[in-house]
Amino acid sequence: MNNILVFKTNIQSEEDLLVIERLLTGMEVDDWNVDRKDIDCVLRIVSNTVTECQISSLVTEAGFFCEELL
Amino acid sequence: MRTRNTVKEELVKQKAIELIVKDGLENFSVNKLAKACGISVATLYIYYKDKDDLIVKVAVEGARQMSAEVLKGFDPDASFEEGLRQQWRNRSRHMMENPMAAQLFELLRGSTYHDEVYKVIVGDFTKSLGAFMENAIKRGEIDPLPMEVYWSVAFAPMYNLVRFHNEGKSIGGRRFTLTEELLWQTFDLVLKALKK
Repeated sequence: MNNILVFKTNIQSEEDLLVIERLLTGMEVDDWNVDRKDIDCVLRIVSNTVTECQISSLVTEAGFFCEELL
Repeated sequence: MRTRNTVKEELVKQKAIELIVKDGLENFSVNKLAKACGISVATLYIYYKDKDDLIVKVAVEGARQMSAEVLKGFDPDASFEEGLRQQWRNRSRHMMENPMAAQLFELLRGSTYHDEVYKVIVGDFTKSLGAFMENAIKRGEIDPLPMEVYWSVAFAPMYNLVRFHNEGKSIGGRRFTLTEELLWQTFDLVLKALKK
């Protein structure tokens, strides 16, 4: 089973999604999605190698709010 | 690594139905559900991909349980009276024992989730009930009727009684409890209306 990382974000629009898609390209991510219907706009990452820190700094640097959900 | 826990999965399903019925589909959130279950949001996102996935999976599971209970002990080859009586017994029991699930299906009926959930109860369910009606027509027990007419006459009175019961009141706020006697009294009237 792969590891699943989840983050509370403010990723909301189609454009936001494209930005995230670009950020994640080239990383070892098996699957990802953003729950835009939920108030927490949860970014969900399925990966065996990528760490919480990597994702949160990458997404934050792109100008989004991104906080790991524990 | 986090792993699945079946006890919590049951709790999650039950609480999800409660919250959706209480707050509506729009206001339901994964965060609220996590709090209600005393587990982390992250755990829920292991079980479910997103809010839609959660709603559909919980509803599909509920629909499966309902189909199984409604068909329990039901024989499509039974006489019309016996088969319909079994249906009334199963359906009223399921709705009275699971009032929340019944309300969830009412909510879903008017939502975008409808198709995905309802294709689960097509299959065995409609096949078996369709065969039952056709058998009764073939044996000359009932007149051929459009499915919708048959369905409305056969089940709407029972559903209405159970709705009164679950709300605890009937027309004009009168207190109401559905007894076996009232249920079968109504059943006899329905049988009289449908049986030749």
